[in-house]
Amino acid sequence: MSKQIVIPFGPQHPVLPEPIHLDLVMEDERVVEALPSIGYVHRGLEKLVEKRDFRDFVYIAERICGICSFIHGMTYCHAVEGVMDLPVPPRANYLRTVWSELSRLHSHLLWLGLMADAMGFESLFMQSWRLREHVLDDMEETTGNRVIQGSCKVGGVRRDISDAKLREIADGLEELRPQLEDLRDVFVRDSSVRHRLGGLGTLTEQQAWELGAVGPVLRACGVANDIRQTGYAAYDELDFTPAVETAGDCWARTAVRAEELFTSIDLIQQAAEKIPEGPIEVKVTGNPKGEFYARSEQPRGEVIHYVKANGTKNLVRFRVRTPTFSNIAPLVVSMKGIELADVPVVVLSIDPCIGCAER
Amino acid sequence: MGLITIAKTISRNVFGGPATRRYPAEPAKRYDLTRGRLVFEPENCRLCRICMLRCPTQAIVVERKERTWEIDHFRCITCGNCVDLCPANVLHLEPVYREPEADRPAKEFHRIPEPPPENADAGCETPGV
Amino acid sequence: MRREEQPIEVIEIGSLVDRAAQKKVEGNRLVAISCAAVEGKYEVTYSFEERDHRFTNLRVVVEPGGTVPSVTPVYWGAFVYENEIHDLFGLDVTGINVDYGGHFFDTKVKHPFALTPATRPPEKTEET
Repeated sequence: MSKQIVIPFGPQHPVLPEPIHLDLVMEDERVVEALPSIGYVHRGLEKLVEKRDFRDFVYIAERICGICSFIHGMTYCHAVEGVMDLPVPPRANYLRTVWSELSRLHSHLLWLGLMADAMGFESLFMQSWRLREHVLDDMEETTGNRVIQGSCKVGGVRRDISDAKLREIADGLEELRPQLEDLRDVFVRDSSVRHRLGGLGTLTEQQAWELGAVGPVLRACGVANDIRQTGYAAYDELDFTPAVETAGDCWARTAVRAEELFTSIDLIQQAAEKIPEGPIEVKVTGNPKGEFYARSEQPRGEVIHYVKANGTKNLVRFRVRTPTFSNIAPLVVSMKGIELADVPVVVLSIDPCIGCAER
Repeated sequence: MGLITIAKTISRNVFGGPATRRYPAEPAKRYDLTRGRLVFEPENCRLCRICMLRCPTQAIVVERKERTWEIDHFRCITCGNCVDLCPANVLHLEPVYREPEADRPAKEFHRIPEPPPENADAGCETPGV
Repeated sequence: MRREEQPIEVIEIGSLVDRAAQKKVEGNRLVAISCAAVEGKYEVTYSFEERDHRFTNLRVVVEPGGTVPSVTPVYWGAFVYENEIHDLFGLDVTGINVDYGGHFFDTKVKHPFALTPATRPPEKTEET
């Protein structure tokens, strides 16, 4: 047995958008064990809930993450609405669905760009981000901001999208589809991408399920588990099948995300067809009392917002379990046996968002 | 097949024009709804303090006695909560962002003018008028 | 909008690891471990999900100063949650497979979410 050395990786590293530190136990070029540590960007957001009105906290909940911001805000609203048993109007649910799917599109395009960048495919990175700009413009036009939308509130949504604008968004995405298909083909079929990502950081179906992997990491292992299937917001009235791959490696995770771009476009187009007329919010009266777990599917996987309230305007406990936090254990396992040069790619393949994970 | 895809992408990039803008030489992209900056009009403010109490970042400080309204723009996250809640509609969002600033804190200070005497008791609970 | 059923079963601390093992045999994955400091006690809730999205919870109630056994022998990946609970709430979890010894979340105030959080250490005067 050769000598083991420990290489510190991160928290500052060119490939990491956010600070996670890994102690890599190496044997020559191979990783024997990886020990993650986080805690560099802990903001104590969960504690802040005790000082803020539960209706205003949605703007803070939205700022847990700078990418899946809308879905954080929406899940927080679901949790509070679940405690209060508020009936959200159907139109609001549809609008939430549209914005969620736009978030997913822009997040996946961002991640695909980052992945291309991590494997040294610079022009693919530029192409992905160029297409992402189109989605961000739709976001800004309908909500008022590119990434922190702030359009969700307890009891409904703050802004309406006219039916004409919804059709325009759906048609705009239809025009984008051929370009996205070109992009997907490069990620899925290109031989250099397959060589770089294939067989890297492999997890079996059993491992991924038992370690608590969520989102694309789990679906890349052949488990068709998508929280959208539980039918929150308007997903119970829309038709979709989760994208699934079976290889369980970095390539499969990329392919799942590339495929989900089209699921999102389909869902937005269906929502634009089916959206009912009606009010977009209900009046919130009284204070919440009780507890509720709200789950939704973020671009990175399943997120949980747990809310406990005692009948005052401040909540007692707000707990967020983000997909990255749950994906840390599968990441550690999938890194065993890979080479040092592959570590950045494997770390990026779970789409780490440490700011989310630490809240 | 790969060549055709590449040719398509290249021609789009060459003839399609740049995807970016030459900001600040050209103005940034804006929409009607863009939440750029918070604007306050002191004339009709009723000093009800709702904006201060419901601000998620505690950026606004209202003093009833001194009749002042103050915001720290570095704290403000332009969520627009105060704009939605203001009963007198003296707050609104403009699509243009604030100019960059280096000095902390970036405070904006307003003195609320005294209401004319005949309006003094029309829904105004300000003490000492 | 479909509302999800989410039964919460309060169990004894002693039976926790056995119940978790039973959940694993039934094909559940561990969704999350959450902790809340309510009314002078800590509630630690273990959430599970079956393949058909059935969502169930097991809850143990711990007195301040008490300990919780680790479920990492059953669910290897639970160490992140258990270290988090230890660092934020100051609740001792015994037998974690990867124990960070209180350095998973290095906060300035130790155990900030505990019932009685430690006070902030005196600020050192820094020359800037």
